[in-house]
Amino acid sequence: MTTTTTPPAPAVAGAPPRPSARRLRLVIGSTRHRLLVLGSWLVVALLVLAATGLEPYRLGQLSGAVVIATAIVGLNVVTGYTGLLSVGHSALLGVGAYTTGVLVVQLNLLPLITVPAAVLTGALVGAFVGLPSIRIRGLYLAMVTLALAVAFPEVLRALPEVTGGNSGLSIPLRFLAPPAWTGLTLADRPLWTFLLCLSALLVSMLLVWCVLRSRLGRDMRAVRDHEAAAESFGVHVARTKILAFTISGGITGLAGAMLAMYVGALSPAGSFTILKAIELLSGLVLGGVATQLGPLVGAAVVVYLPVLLADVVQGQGSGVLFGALLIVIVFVMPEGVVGRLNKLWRQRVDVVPRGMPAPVADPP
Amino acid sequence: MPSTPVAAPPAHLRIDRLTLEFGGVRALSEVSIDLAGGGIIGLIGPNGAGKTSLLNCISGFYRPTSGDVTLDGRSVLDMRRHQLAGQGIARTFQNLALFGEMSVYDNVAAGAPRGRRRLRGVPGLRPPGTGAAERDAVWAMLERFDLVQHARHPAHGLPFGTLKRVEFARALMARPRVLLLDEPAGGLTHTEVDELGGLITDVVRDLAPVVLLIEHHMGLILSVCSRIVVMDSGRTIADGPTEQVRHDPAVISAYLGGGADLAAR
Ligand SMILES: Nc1ncnc2c1ncn2[C@@H]1O[C@H](COP(=O)(O)OP(=O)(O)O)[C@@H](O)[C@H]1O
Ligand SMILES: [Mg+2]
Repeated sequence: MTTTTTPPAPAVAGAPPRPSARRLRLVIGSTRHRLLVLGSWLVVALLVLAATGLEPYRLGQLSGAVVIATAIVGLNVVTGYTGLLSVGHSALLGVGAYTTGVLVVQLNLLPLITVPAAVLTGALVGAFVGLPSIRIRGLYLAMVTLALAVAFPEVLRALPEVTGGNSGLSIPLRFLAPPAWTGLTLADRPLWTFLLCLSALLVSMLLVWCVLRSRLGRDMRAVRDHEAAAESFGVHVARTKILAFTISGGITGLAGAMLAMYVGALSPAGSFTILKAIELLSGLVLGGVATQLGPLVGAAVVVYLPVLLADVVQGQGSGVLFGALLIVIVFVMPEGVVGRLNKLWRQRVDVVPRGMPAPVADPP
Repeated sequence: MPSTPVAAPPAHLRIDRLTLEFGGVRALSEVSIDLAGGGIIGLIGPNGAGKTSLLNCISGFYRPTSGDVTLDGRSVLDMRRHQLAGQGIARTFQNLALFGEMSVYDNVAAGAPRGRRRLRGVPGLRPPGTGAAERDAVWAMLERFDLVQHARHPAHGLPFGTLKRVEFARALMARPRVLLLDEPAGGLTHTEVDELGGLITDVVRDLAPVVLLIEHHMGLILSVCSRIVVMDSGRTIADGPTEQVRHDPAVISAYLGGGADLAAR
């Protein structure tokens, strides 16, 4: 494997990539690349291990952030990669959460068993939202998602026998305890919840990674960038949009199921109003639209920044400061935190994909 | 590109009394062109003559008011736009229509023929070898168009001439039977136009598609086309072998306002 080193030079954002000779060369599939991937996973494993040692309150907070990150991963599929603005993901989150909540409270099922059902209902409602894309395009689809976000809490209130109406549902603690086979006790519930939420996040990210590598992933981005051109190269635009909404709904439904297990109590006014959809969108934009790690950073910002600010400023002031800080971040990094980091990475590292012909020697 | 001998006969594209109206404006009136025999057919005429409109009708972007477009005897007007690629029709756009955020590699790969396997590319789900075969074909195409050094760059932000090559490469990836080129030389430098002419003739030798080439650059038209169709105000005013059309007095007066021979442009 060819290797060259980079001299330290100040990176200017937006500057063209430096000549390849001065960048670190990273050949996909090479030993160096494998080591880097292995090393990254090692760091992730160590971070998770460190997190499990957190005190229960902090661990619970982290689980909340992980759930939000999963929901943003779902939102990213439609809004980031397919370019369809959705302000309805609060409802998809709610569909997943209430599927788990209702099945546990009304039918006494174990929460873990209800997870596939939550994914399925999320996916079905997602597909239903995507369905109008057969006929309508552009902002009109966003209007459909808006209608869903507004209608969802009202639907919950209209069905009190099933959903508990305004007062909502609360899942009895005995259902939320770690199962016996784990060897964990009820006192370990925060750890159990955290591990569940983390698994859901990892599965979702893996799914998105696979979709992006497939033709469907390329079709989604083609539809986002130029619908007419995509169509004339054989992309079935409506089908692609519906599939994107289905996958997105499934992932967000999964996040909802995790939310139900994490909070244990659900209500229409709680986490499923349009404010939640806006929180998810803010997280996506801050972290980096159409980046695979952006949802993680975005979730961390929208979950932890208000908490940090509340320590500094009392009362209403912290909300104002939060809003102002978001605007500053978006102004400084319009491509999001991870979008910016990706740019810097590409300036320093020359990633050589598989099958790329050896470059003809550059003239001096 | 491997120049595999093409066994299938060339596609037979036929435009039959095509009329297209926008409100009161007639963009096309009763245009008939039979492209039997294939080859590179030049489509020329002043701005507003209806050349792009004709292309848009063939590729499903406009729905003609009356008339028909058939490929090997089947009407393409009944087909949905995304089905035309599967019929072997590929096009470029007068004003670029690339996938801006996607890399040049992905833009070109997006032109590749589509099998039924939507999940191709997912590890474990693809039939062995298919991913690598497409990948090699894309890299070969990028190499041929001198795009390897831009492969990983997003399409937006690259120079116009480069993007024109990306569009052409994307259309060729589909191994089309009918290739519709809308002013591919627009905005290119002299050397770039010369290279383009070479590429177009290479393509015809390798893939033997029917090429409908809209162009204002007469040098390019005269050097690569075997036949020229001239349009003016939505009608065809001349159609014949290049040598015949370039000396046609009616063409010279309509297209150049009289005086010079077409070759002088
Ligand atoms: N989408 C449209 N709506 C209204 N008029 C159009 C449209 N597209 C083309 N036209 C009209 O059709 C005529 C032919 O245009 P066009 O096909 O673009 O010509 P050319 O490509 O030969 O320059 C022009 O008068 C133009 O204004
Ligand atoms: Mg035109």
